[in-house]
Amino acid sequence: MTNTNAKLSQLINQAPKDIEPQKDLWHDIEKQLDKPEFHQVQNNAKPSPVFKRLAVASIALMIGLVSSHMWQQKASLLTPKAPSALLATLSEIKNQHQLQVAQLTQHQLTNWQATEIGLPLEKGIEQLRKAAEQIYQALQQTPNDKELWQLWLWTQQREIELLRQGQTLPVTPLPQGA
Amino acid sequence: MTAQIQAIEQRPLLEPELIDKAKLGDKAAFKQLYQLHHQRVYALCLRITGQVPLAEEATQDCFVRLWQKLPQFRGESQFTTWLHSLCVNQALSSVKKHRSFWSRFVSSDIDVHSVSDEYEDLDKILLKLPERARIVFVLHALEGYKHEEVALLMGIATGTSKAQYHRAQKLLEAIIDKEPTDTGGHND
Repeated sequence: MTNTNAKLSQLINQAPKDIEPQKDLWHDIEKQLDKPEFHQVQNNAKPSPVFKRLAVASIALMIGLVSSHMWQQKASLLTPKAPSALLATLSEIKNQHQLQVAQLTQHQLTNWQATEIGLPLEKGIEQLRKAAEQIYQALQQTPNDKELWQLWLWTQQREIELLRQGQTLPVTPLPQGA
Repeated sequence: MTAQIQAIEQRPLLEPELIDKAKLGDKAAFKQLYQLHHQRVYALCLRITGQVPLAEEATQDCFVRLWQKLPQFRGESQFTTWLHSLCVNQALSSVKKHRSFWSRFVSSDIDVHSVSDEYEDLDKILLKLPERARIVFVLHALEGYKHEEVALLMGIATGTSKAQYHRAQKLLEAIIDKEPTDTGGHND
């Protein structure tokens, strides 16, 4: 190690952790805390970007479903299956989906669900699962309802997408530098 | 016994208690959290932004953001670690925001003589580094982030982080060689 190198290492080691600001910053911070746009974000109080995207996607899906339904009525393309066959398909798809979710969870590289950054995704997934379960129960009563089918399949697809998104989050444990 | 109760009542609140109160909107508790951590946050912001006015703005933004996000802190990690991560992101965001607008109009050259003498040696010479090299150096050498983590935070490749760190190291060594009097006798 050269002298310069050693000097730089010494400077790094001696660098203070704390520096006092030249002026008092609290006063301006306090003023901002009172503004409505900076009010505290309570859990579930404000929709996260994930929820906003889900809401937009839901609206788009509903428009699509209505259009599709009108077109299908006109063309009479669908031939309804017997309810028992549909119920069997319903159960089979549910099992396949659960298997896929289990595989994704087992093979994930990071525990992103336990991090703050993963919270919105985790909440989104939770909401999707609740919605999917309710739709599933409704489908058991009315298995010929094509719109419900599409909505149910969409919730499953979104759940998989969000689980995959979670695995791409930068959740490498950070060092205790603070 | 009464004296003991009074002593308990008058004792300063511990950090977890301050966090719990601030989560519920208690600004007095939040001010105490600010007083506990603002110097550390300001040091981080000053080194990342490289400018006093921007560091002041970033520090304020950090605490406003902390106020907003505090109810989401669930205690699964150390508060200081969580706050540190939040502040690094906020300071980087401030740099980006400032760069995108002002860099069109003003030079990025920094006048080292305008830096207050109260800063320690390393902080004086850090301000002479180019922005990206300085940020990589601060995050890796001073804050202990791995190059992979620096790359994620800055949205650059790991190799770029390593190259910028090497560049910063060489520049700092060159500055130390050239200006031994500026960087050597400041701790007395």
